[in-house]
Amino acid sequence: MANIVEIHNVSKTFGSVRAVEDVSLEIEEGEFMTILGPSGCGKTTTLRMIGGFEYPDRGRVLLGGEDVTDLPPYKRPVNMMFQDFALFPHMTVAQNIGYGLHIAGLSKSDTAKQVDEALRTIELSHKAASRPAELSIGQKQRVALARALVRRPQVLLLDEPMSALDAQLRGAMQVELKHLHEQIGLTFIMVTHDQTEALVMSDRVTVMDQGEIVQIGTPTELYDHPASPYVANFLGTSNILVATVREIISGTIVTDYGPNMIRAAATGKTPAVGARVMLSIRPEKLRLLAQDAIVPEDVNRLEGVISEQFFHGDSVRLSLDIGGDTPLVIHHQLSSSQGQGELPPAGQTVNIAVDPSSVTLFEDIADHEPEYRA
Amino acid sequence: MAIQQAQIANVRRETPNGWHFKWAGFDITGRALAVAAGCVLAFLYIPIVTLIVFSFNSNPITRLPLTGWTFDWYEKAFTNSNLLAALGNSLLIAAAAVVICLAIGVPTAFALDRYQFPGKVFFRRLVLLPITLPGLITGISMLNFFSMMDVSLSLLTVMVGHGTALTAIVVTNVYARLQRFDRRIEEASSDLGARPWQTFIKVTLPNIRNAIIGSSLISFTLSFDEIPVTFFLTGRDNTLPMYIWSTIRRGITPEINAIGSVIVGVSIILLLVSVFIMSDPVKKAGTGR
Amino acid sequence: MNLAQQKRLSFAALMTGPILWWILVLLVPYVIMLMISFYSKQFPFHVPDFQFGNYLKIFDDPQYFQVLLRSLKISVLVSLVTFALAYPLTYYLVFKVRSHRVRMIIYVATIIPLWVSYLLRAYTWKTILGTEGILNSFLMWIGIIDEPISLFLYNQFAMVVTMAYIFTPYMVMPLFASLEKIPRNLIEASKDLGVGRMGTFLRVTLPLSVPGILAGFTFTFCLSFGDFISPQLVGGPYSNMISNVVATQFGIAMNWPLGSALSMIMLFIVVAIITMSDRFERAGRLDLN
Repeated sequence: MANIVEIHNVSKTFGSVRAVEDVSLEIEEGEFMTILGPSGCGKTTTLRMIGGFEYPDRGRVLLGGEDVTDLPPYKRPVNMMFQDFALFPHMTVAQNIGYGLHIAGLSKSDTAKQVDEALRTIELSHKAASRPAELSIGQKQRVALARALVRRPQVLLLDEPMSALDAQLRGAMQVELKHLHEQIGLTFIMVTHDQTEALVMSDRVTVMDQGEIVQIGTPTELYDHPASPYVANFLGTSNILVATVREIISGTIVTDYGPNMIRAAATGKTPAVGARVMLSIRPEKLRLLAQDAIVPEDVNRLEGVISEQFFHGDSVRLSLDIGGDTPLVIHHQLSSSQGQGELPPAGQTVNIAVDPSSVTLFEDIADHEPEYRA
Repeated sequence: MAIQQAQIANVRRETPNGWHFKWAGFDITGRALAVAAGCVLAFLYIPIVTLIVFSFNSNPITRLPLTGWTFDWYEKAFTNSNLLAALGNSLLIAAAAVVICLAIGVPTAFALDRYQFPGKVFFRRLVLLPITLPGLITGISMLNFFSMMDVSLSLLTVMVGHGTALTAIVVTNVYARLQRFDRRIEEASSDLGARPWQTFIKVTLPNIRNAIIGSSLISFTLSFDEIPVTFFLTGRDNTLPMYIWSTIRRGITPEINAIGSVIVGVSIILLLVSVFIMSDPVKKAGTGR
Repeated sequence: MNLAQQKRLSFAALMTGPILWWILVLLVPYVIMLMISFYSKQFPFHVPDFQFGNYLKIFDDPQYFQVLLRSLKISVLVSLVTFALAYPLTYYLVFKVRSHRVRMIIYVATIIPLWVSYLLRAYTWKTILGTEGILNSFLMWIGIIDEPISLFLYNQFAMVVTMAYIFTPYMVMPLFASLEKIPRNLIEASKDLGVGRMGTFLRVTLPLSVPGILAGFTFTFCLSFGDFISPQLVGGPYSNMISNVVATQFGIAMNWPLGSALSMIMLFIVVAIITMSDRFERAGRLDLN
């Protein structure tokens, strides 16, 4: 598939702050791409450079193969849904939606027809004559979406589209936006700091940190094979353990973590024996074993003492001391046949198992702050 | 609402030893303050009321007791050709001053809000100086200037003087509005295909319109009322305040009371209109909450 | 052309005119005034020169120095009187009036006189305080006095009353703003901690309203200091203010260099006061979230 958006080696500095540093990104036509990162990571600046609101210090921006770096927003075939929506307060809902068509020189009747249609789609026909101030937040969001989409852009940019919504509405809107994307097949580029949003909605996710891209991949790739402890921790939670390499046996790296031995499946480079490495283990990949359970040879079996239990309704999180620097967190799903009461209480010694393929190993520990915790 | 308030009032009464829940009639400080506040308000309004009352009093000397109703003073005022000429001049000057204030003040406010340029801090101070300095100083500095440039004094110099003295009013009001202005709606407009001038006319202007109209009305009123600058910059022509001033230095006539009452009435109407306009349209709609 | 260049171009298009205007009508006149303040007077006008004689004269000649001191004294008195009037009123409005609507109506009512012709407001006091005036005739009418008292008008008392009347709204506005900003829970907390009404006022409310008091004093002081209309109307022969002396230099005395030097001193005093109050305000600014 063709790339609809290409960003080549783009950098942007605000005063002394480097907002974006040498970022390159390619987005395929029809794709739902999410740029994910904490506030100040440069994700919004990147989006705004695609929209034309920021001019990069270096690098080029291409839309549909054409260099648009020097084009102002009003000459770019993209539309943006702004954070907090930026609806025109002095116009009615209908005027807001029709604004882009009116500017494009559409006749009054054509504009009215398309606005009516859009209003029907977002189920706000009865609010056509209202001002934005009279709308609920959810309604405002739908108007903002309609206003951007009636322009039939090649790419829809979404700047933190859910940040104004409450938790309940957010879940519903995530599904709605995803459906919308599937229906109209338009390229969506969304910026968010919310990892759940990124995982639920996107085809691919770009993770940014301190102005740079850390990793690009599908949600499952990112989740299962994070490129760094930063990604591992930003997407979902992870146990990050600093361990020492003991030996390497045919595709498996054996490490020591306290009294326990943890094996990780080797992917890519193999570290030297004796090296300090970081291990990342998702809490839900750790299985609580029955006292007498037998596990295959190649599965890690660890022993530890339960220090705390946290009840989450449908699941329990156990904090487990396995003798290393950091306690291990286990996500244990409760089922119809097992309630919380049947779990071993705090203070009890238990065995747990985890597949070596679920242990991600990072060679480089120097770069990362020590306090990565689950 | 009313019921809620009543309930709150009940709760308050039941609260023991709450400091601001007092029994009727025992808040002595409150009473004293109310009386003081009333006196200050009276102090502020008695002269204005006096002015209006005596404009209808038949006695040519403004003294008590009142002697009877008359409209003579109004008739006299509005047949006095000098006074009418001065009134015409004042209206003309005020209109011209507003034009200058807007032509200079609105771009200046935009520059202060949106652009970074060398000397901005100095520029801001300079521009705001005329409202902080006594009008006398503005008047004198411009008199020196015009005299050095060999410009003879006329209504034109007064217009320039008023424009200079009052532009800061437009600058501060429009600047304050721009500071609260959500720039993203301009970006949204640009995003939706509008060129910068279209964005300015269709999005920016409607949202700062009230600040512009309001500050125009204020500038108009202040120019209409201006003496310190006019005093130094006017040539042979008089403005209304200058005419009134030259009259009252000679003596008091009820004619001045009459024209004064008219000015008071018109000023208050203009003020109320500008206050109403300047309050936010969104807030005014008020149905959102 | 890229976006950054476009932005620079639009700034130039927007601001070239206004910046030239500001330089021409504001910066240049101030510079000229400064220049002329070093000129020497020579019949019939003045000649270019560079000497400090005008400034020295102001500080040597008791005639000018006395006037300067008197102006400062009167301006301080006016500020004090407006403060004494405005504080109780504003306090009452903010803390005692419960209905927001009523509070805003009374507040606007105290501001309205500002927009009623300044000259007329000064003038009404002449009609009120004069020997033939309303106060005297009222007192005689009700029989308290037999002869009109000339003590009311044409003295410093009349000046202070008139200017205090004119400038009280300028004290009310900043006081109101600063008192309204004080979080109620601070005052409640103080009372909750067992501090009495007076203690709470002195230790919480008053200190927190200092920014408003400072701003109010600055406004009223600078305005009184620059006023030459009211002194001339109600002040009488021995109440000349510095601004009157300045005005005279450009009128009958025809000594522009001296007048310009006096103006420069006024300008310096006003700017110094504004800068100082700004500094104090910033230094003492507390974060009241």
